[in-house]
Amino acid sequence: MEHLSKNIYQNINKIISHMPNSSTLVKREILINKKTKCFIIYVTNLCNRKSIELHIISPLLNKVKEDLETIENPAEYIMQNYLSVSEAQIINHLDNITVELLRGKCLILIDKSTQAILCDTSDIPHRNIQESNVEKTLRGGRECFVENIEINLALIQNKVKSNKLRIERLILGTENNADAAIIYLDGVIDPIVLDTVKFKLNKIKKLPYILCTGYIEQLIEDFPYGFFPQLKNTEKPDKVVSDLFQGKAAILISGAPYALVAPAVFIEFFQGFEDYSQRILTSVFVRLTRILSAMLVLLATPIYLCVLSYTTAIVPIKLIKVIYNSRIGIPLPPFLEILTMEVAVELLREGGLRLPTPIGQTLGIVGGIVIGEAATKAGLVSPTTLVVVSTTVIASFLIPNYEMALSIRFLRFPMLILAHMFGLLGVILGFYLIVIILINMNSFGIPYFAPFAPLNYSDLKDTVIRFPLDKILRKPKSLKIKKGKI
Amino acid sequence: MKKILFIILLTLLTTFTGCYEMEPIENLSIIIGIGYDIEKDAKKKIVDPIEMFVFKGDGEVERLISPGVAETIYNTVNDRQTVMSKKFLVGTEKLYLISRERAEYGIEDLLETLIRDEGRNEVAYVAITEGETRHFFSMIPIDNTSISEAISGILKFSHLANFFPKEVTIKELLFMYNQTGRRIILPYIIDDNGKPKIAGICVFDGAKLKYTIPLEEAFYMNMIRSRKSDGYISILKENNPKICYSIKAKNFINVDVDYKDRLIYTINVTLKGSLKTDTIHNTALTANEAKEIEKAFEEYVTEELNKTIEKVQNKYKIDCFDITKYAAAKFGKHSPLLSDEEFQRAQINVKVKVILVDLGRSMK
Amino acid sequence: MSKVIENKITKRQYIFILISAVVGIGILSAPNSICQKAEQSGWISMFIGCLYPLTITYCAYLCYKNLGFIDFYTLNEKIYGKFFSKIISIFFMLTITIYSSSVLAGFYNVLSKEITIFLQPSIIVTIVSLTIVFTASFGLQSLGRLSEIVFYFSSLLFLFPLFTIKRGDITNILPIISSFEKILSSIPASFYSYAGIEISFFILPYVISKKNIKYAGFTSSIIIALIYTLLTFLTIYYLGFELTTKIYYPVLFIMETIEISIISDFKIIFIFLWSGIILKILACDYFVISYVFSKLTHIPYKKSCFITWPFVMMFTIFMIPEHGRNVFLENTLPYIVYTVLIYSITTAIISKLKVMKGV
Repeated sequence: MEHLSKNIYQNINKIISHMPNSSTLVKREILINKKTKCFIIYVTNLCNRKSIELHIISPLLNKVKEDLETIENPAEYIMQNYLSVSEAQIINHLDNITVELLRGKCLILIDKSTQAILCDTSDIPHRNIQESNVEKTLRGGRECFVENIEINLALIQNKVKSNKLRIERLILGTENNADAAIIYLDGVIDPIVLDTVKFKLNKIKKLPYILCTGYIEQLIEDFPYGFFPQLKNTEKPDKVVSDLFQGKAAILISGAPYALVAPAVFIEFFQGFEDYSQRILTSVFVRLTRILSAMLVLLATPIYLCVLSYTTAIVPIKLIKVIYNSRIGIPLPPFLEILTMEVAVELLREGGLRLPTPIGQTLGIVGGIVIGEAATKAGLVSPTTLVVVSTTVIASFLIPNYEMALSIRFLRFPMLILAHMFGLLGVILGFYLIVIILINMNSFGIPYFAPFAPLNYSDLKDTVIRFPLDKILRKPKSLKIKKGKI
Repeated sequence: MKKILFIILLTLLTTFTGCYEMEPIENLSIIIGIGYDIEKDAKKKIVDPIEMFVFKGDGEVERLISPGVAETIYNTVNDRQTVMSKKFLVGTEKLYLISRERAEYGIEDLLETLIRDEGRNEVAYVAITEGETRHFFSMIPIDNTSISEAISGILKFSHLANFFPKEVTIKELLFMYNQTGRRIILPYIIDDNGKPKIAGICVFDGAKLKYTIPLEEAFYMNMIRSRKSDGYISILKENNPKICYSIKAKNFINVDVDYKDRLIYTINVTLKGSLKTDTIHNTALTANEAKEIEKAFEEYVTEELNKTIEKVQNKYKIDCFDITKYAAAKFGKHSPLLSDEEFQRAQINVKVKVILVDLGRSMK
Repeated sequence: MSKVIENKITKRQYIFILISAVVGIGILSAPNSICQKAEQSGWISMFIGCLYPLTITYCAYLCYKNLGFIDFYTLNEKIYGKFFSKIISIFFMLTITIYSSSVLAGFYNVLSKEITIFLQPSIIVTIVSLTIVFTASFGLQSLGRLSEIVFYFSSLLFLFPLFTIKRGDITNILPIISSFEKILSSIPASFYSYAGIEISFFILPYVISKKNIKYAGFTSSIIIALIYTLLTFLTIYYLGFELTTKIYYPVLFIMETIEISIISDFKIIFIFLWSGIILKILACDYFVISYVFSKLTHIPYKKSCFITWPFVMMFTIFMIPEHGRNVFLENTLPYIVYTVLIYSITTAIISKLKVMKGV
């Protein structure tokens, strides 16, 4: 601990030595009561200059009439009597001072005093709360998180007016000292889950820098090589709040307009937030379509390949006629034909993702023409293959969570190869292996495939189907680790 | 170590998978119909013509008939593959045709094959043809791409009239052959001016064809042996087609069996249907008159059925009604009462009940 | 993946593991074997046959109840001493190896005829058994979860044959009783369909809540019996016993005759679902093999999973020819079943005596 010394210049030198890049560091010297030397130190572009002038400099220069040298604790006296800033504290050491100054705080050093005042005058530039571009919802709040953690916390606190809400702050990264927070509802979250989350976050504290929730996600998940996302990333405060009420913890980090929700189970990634706002039957229908589309993405092309290559007799004769006719004259063998199409579609998708909208549209149109028209007309790809592949692509867009959609899209390639190697048996084994892996995965001590395996009948009410809200608006049992129960 | 083992295993698996020998769909010959003919005098007796699709691209589909001549059913594949340019694929066939001569010669080998070969399509239709099946396959289909589809269509919808049973498929053939107290009865198809036509039923004894029964008699046999099929019955007055009752009926059969010195079958035939024509009454139908019509039909059908039964018992002497199975169900599957002699001796009572559910919209 | 293999299951999972350890290839072929003697009354013998699983599960329950819920190996040590417990363990290991390899061989036979004509047997057996080793290496808890979920998915499969109700003929199952002698003489054959229930001895100690565990065994036995009886009944009802005895996998034949519009061969869907059942039964059997092996040799469970793999492979390759397999099973299964029956009854009695002495 570096205590403040009585010599004010010594203190300033210490601060400057902590902050070598001090071009933005402002050291304003004033004399209080025309006698006592005082320094006001802040980082210029992180603070609100007006409030420093109005609430700190002006009272110190104009109002203080006492002789500070006669007062025992001048810093405390000034803070209590003259400073009109809302947040201020007395410090007597210079630890963490860099971080504090970079947070936009302003330090007042007084000569011959071993105490200093730290006032919050921060005015860090930030984006306004806007409508989400990535997660669009038809019903529900429009606002989404921004890069500023304080605003994000405010968004959540505003929605949970409960005395159970707990916000625990921590700093991640030894180099970038990012502010982070764990948010949960006390008494709702399972203590073991909470301990696991905290333990894992503490373990990654010592890493040099952590910039985004994606970093945290990968560092704290149980199966880094697993296929599926094990934490939920969301940029909508209302989604976070809904998860908090189900007994989960949210992790926020400054600089990322996302919240991480832990633990997450598999089926959640197929549930849209507006499912709960929609009518029961329509939302059940929509959920069923999503599961169906996930199945389509995984199974449609491999089974189609099996039909083309191995087990032709499983489709009726009329369909065989169509497929047969479309395959005539195609130079590529079925596997390569399908693989080429799949890769081409992936290229288009990935290419269009980062392009600005007008160019992206052009790419879509050109790609559509190249793949749809030219390839079939030139006899490189059969029209039925095109139909099957594009159906799977469209189906993959139905999965509401982007990470899950990516995982499932990726999985269809191993499935395709398995189908090519072992025919339908390969598809069966591939599907079975996915189920095995799902069953054996855990997310912070919660079985990932819950409530299907281990089966929990009451929690099934809100999975693929959805019961009326009054039956499901309670904490799911499968998110609780019962002692001795599996 | 683990990783090396894993890689070795993966390499081995990729090297030995079957994906290198597979043929894509366009190298397969899609079989649609299989026929069974015989040349009794030749050394190579079995002639199996096969109808398959020839695809020309752009939605054009033609067909090809390829006969195989050999000593046995599967030796014909030997013969056929010598001229075929594609891989042979069984399992897509929709129709099995057996020529009458072949059926009379016996189809034991075919029946065994159908059970043993898993690749066969069990729901394909099956029928007996008047002449060579090859002749039928070379007919020109009118509204289908292949004659096999045309004939299987005829067989599929045959139950909508004449009380033909609903399923005339390979699995039903196997059932009829194997189940105790039943015998094979298949539709008989003739060449009617270059078009296939159902002209009756063929009754087998074991695996050999015994009798071919024309449609007029088969009508009443069908009425008893099938269930929930449709048929149209009319009663004419003075042989004038303009004065008649006509009904469309669905048959419901219930058979009771008893034994007193000889087998006594009591066949309860319930015909539920709707009145289609009534040119005999000229006033609006009352309940009593409807009863009268029902009664008239009951009498008429009973009489016809009794005539048919008498003919079957005395002329054909084997059970063409598929009713011995009821005796088997009552007296056990190994009972001596299931023989043809017992059937000839049996007393067969028919109780017909006609229920007119619908009298039509006519008020007169 | 998780480092600790937890071996704890719930009572419900216990029921489902028992079911999945028994119901396997049998659902395709059981009607065939039972009808050889019992003819159209095969389904009655099938139902009576559930005495076997009932006895085994009840005996297992009695043994563990009397001597506390210790594991299988210690139980034998307490009752028969060190030497015999080793012998018994090896016997059970071999038995389950025979079961699992015959199931795997049967699985191969069905697959090779229907969907993977182009693959060599060694490839199919290798990839399937590798999947099984992978599954089993996660331990009992994972098996419990798997059995539970796969049972629900595959229970669809037991509903498919219901479509025959409309199309079958009641005369096929009449008269209901062919003859009492025939029914009685085919009951041993039905015991073989229930082989696999021995797994009860191995997993019972790991059930968490021991309350009403007796009834869990009964429930699973009855469910298995109902599945088998229903399938046998419907098969006879639809095919007639004559055809049932002629076809090795009669249930598969029924599936082929289901016609739905988009798939011409319904069998494929059936095999798709049924593979789940087969993989599940293999995983259960494989768990027992590696479990006993690891107890015998004190090699950790996960390692013993991989060590025992070549043996099971070898056995399976030996079992693949359908004809040879049948001869082998006909000659071994009766002895195995009766030995297991005698073993469980004597163990139950001795354990009771020990408790009484102790008191």
